[in-house]
Formats: sequence, C-alpha cells, structure tokens
Amino acid sequence: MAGLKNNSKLKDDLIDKINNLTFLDKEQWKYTNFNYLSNFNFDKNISKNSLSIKKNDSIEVLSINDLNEDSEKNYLKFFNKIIPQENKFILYNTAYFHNGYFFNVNKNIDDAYALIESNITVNSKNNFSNDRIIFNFNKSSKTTILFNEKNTKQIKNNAVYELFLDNNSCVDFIIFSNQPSATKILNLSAKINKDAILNIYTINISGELIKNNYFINLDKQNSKCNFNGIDLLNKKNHIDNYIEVNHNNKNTFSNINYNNILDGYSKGIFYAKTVINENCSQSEALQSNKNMLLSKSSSIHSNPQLIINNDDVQCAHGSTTGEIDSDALFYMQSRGISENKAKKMLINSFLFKIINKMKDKKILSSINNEIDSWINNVD
Amino acid sequence: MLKINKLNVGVDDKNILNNINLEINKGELHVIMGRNGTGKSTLSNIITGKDGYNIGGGEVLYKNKNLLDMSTEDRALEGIFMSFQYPVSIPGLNTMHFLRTSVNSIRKHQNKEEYSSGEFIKVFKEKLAIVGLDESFAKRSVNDGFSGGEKKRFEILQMLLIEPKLVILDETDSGLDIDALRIVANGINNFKSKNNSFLLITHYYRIIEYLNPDFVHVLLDVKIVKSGDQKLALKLEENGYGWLKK
Ligand SMILES: Nc1ncnc2c1ncn2[C@@H]1O[C@H](COP(=O)(O)OP(=O)(O)OP(=O)(O)O)[C@@H](O)[C@H]1O
Ligand SMILES: [Mg+2]
Repeated sequence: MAGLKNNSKLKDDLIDKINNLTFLDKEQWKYTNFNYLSNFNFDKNISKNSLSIKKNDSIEVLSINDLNEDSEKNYLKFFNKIIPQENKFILYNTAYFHNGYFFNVNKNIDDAYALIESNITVNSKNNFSNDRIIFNFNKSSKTTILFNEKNTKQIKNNAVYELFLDNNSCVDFIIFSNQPSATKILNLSAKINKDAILNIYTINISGELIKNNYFINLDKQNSKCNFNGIDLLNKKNHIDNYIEVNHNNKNTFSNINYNNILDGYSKGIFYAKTVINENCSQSEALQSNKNMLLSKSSSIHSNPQLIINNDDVQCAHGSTTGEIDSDALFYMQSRGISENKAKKMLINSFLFKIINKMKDKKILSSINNEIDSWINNVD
Repeated sequence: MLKINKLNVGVDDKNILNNINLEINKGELHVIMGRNGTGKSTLSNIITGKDGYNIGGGEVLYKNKNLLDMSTEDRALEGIFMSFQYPVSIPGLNTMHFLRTSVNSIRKHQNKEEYSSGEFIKVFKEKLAIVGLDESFAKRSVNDGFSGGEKKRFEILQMLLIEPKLVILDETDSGLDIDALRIVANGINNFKSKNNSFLLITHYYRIIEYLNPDFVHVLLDVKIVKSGDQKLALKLEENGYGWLKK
C-alpha cells in the first residue's frame, strides 16, 4: 500500500485540514459556484478501476494499489510534491483517491505512448470519483499521452494529475473530453526541467460543468510549455479554465493559445496568470485567448494576466471576442462556397490552428472529426 | 454579359456611386481608372454581392438575370469572380482544402465532375507553375503570411482554377514586382478568350499595355466621366486626372 491510501492517521489530518480550509482564491472562483461543487460527496468509493489504459513498452504503468517496496519509494518521490495544497478538491483527492496510477516513462526513447479511457457506465448521482495519476517522464524521452474521455453518462470526476518532465524530455499531453453531462474537476501540476518541453492540448467538447486548473512550473533553464486549448460549448455548458504558469528560471518559454466557440446559453471562463520571477532573464511569455460567439445568449469572461518581475523578457498577451469574421465569410462565398459551409470551415480553422502542431497526426485527425461533427450541429 | 443601368450606391448617408452605366460584352476587357476613394472597389463589391451598401436605384444584369437578387455564392457559381484588392487571410484554413472546396462547388454546379484529391493536386500544380508560386503554398493557410505580391498571384491562381466567365481584377497589379506583373499579365492573357469578360481596375498604365483593353473608363467623383480606348489610359498616365475636372 502506498501514499495515503490506507494511512488513516494522515487521512484524518487531511480531513481536518479540509474542514479548516479558509483560503479560497476568489479570483479563480469568480464565475463558478464553489459551494455547489463542494457539496457533493467526494468520499464515497465508487467506480473502482474505471480507467482502461493501453500503452506501449516504453512506459511502465503501476497501479498504486500494488506497488512493491522499490516502486513505492520511487513513487513517493513524486506523490503530492508539486500540487497546490490550499485547494479543497485536491485535498479530497489526496484523501480518497481510488483510481491511482504511476506512469514511469523510460529514458532515451522516442515513442512512448499511452491511451487512457474512462469507462464509467452508470450515472454518478452525487458521488465524485477521484482519479490520481502521476507521470514521470525520464531524461530524453519523447511521449504522447492521450486521455480519451467520451461518455454520455452523468459522470462526476475529480482528477489530479502530477507531471514531472526530466531533462530534455518532450511530451504531448492531450486531454480530449466529449462528455455532455459531465461534472468534472481537474487539477494538473507540471514541473519541467532543463531543456524539456511540455505541449498540452486540451479539447473540451461540451460539458455540464467543468473546472480545470493547471499549474505549470518552468523550473529549470530552457524549459518550455506550449499550452493549447479549445472549448466547443453549447446549450448550458459551463467551462472554467484557470492556467497558471510560473517562470522560475532563465531562458524559459511559455505560450498559451486558447480558443473558444460558444453557442446556445453556454458560458466560458478563461483566466490565465503567467508569472515571470525576478531571476528569469531572457524568458518569453505569450498568451492569446480568442473567442467566437455564435449566439447572443452565450458569454465568455476572459482575463489574461502577465505578472513580470524582470526587465529582460519578452511578453505579449491579448484577448478577442467576436462573431465569425464577415470578411473571411464574404471571401469564401465569393469563391462559390455556401454561407453555411463557409461558416463551418471558418469555425473549424479557428479551432484547428490551435491543435495542428500535435505530433500524432492520427490522433489529430480523429479529434478533428469529432470537432467537425460538433460543428455540423451548428445552424 | 454584364449590364449596369443607372446604378446608385451609398453607405449610410454617403453617396458613393451615381448613375453608373456600363456594358461589358462577351470577350471584352474593360478598364476602370480613377483616383483613390472614387468607388471602384465599391462597384466591384456590388457586382460580387457584398452587403452593407444601399442600392438607391438602377439595375445590374448578368446574362440577362437580375444580379442584385442573387447571393454572393450563387453569383460565383454562375461564373463571377473577383480578384480582391485586399485578399483576406484565414489562419488555420488550409489552402488546398479551401481551393478544392471552392473549385468543386463550382464544378458541381456546372455539372462537371468534381476533382478527386489526386486530380486536383495535378491541376493545382499546373496552374501554380503559371503564376510562379511554389508547392509549399499547398501546406499553408489561406493568404496567411503571404506577401502582398504572393496574395495577388494566389488570386490569379484561383481565377485559373475556377475558370470564371466574368472576372473583376481589383488592382491585381498593385504591389507586384516587374517580373511578377509580367507573369500575372501572361496568366490573364492566356485565360482570356472570346467567351469570357474582364473588368480591370488599376492605377497604372503598365498592366494596360500588357492586356490591350477594349475600353477604358474614368471614374471621378461618383460618376464615370469619360470613356475611351487604350489611348485614354496613356493620356491619364501622362497628365493625371486634373484635365478631366468638370
Ligand atoms: N462601408 C463603408 N462605410 C463608409 N464609407 C465607405 C464604405 N465603403 C466605402 N466607403 C467609402 O466610399 C468611397 C469609395 O471607396 P472605394 O473603396 O470604393 O474606393 P476605390 O475607388 O476602390 O479607392 P482605391 O483606389 O483607394 O482602392 C471611399 O470614400 C470610402 O471611404
Ligand atoms: Mg479600391
């Protein structure tokens, strides 16, 4: 047994902490109802083994329930080390997680691949499941991780992912979610070492209530993060994304590109905070958030923030919200493309340009097909 | 082919075109010259169907049909093509995907067989060579990051692929280097036939020399104030517009 799973003393301490937790980042929860979410049950041990994992030999995957002494030692070097502690849902996860996995990616390989799918088959009612996954990407490894979350059930999931990128590793970390009835909380932390690159792709197609928090730490020189996100929302979907990037060393690079399409009565929140600390000269931080509103009743709150504590850096941020570009539409119509088709092509390109650098083109094209079928329902 | 009768166009309270009459027959090439802001692009936009203008009277007939009742895409399907003065860049939209969708929509409408992707690549390469662009453009987004001259060549490429009946060239020669101008002019000359018609908008005599227009019109202060042949363009090149003042 590992971590806090069966350690009741630690668990009790944690629960104490949860109950006494007063700190709450107001800015982060401005538009999403914290109390509503925290009133569900997080301690009911449901949907055990609801994750199916396919992977190749370059990755070792251990269930946290059956670690041996060596692997437990290794795992404890990472568990709960970088994820923020002042967050109720993370603490719940730490106390009650039941789907726990440790992914260890071999060093010096360039083809590591894992596909993670959830297969919950019942509605979750008032109970959240808690998934906890730790990823250790060893030196000079190249990896693609794909979460393929497709489900029409009313699932409730509170996930925590902890990512460690050792020197010169490169990761495409793809979270694809198409779960119209899901209530989902994700907290993801990453620690990126020297010359390592983390490319995050998060694609959210619908969702009843989704709250994603990302904490990216560029800890060593020449570490990079490209954060690419798209949300396709309609009906009463609500997606709230908070992205925090900390530049903690020289020559570090971050680039956030997040585009949203909003239809119906949906609501999106984009809040990014990139902090360049004092000792981080020659760093570069970019943020872009573009939103296309397809209906009058949809709305987006965009708040791209840069906090810069060093003069020798390059930064840019911007946010735009608008309708479909009418000049582009006219251009395409003047080439014989119908208005409806042109609109769909424009929506697709608005989204596709965010994800098209994904290395695995097969995954890219299947995601693009899902995007297209969503777009085909737009009128 | 195209017949414009007593056309008046405005935006908000502003009068942009007044009492425009113009007839372009099959096989003819007409040129419109005129100072900046006199309504040349507005006229092109009216013919292609851009909205946002008030039509204050008059009619525009294309193949004897009322053009003003048709949607932009229907006009394109029926053979009208405009090379934009300012082509629009569309980041994320792949050039090949855009071109094939456009060309196949039009071919389908004309009961021609749609190109398969293999066939299209062949035609694409052939036309690409005519306008002197290299094959890497196939992988790029529409007009995204194209230089001014590349955008104009890309417009001509589309004209060659679409094979329209009525072509409007809105300052296609502006911003082209000397070689590119010759390439583009040759492309136009090769495509020009007795079955299609052209309306060229330009500020320069050089392209006119290459294309040998049938008519040259001068648009000044909302009106066509003078029409003539190629010699009129030469006179404007030498003397400017001052002498035409009413
Ligand atoms: N949507 C609009 N709103 C307000 N004014 C407009 C609009 N469209 C055109 N105009 C005005 O109408 C006039 C004619 O514009 P147009 O673009 O047709 O000129 P042009 O002859 O093509 O000029 P150029 O040689 O510079 O390309 C200009 O004064 C322009 O500012
Ligand atoms: Mg103009």
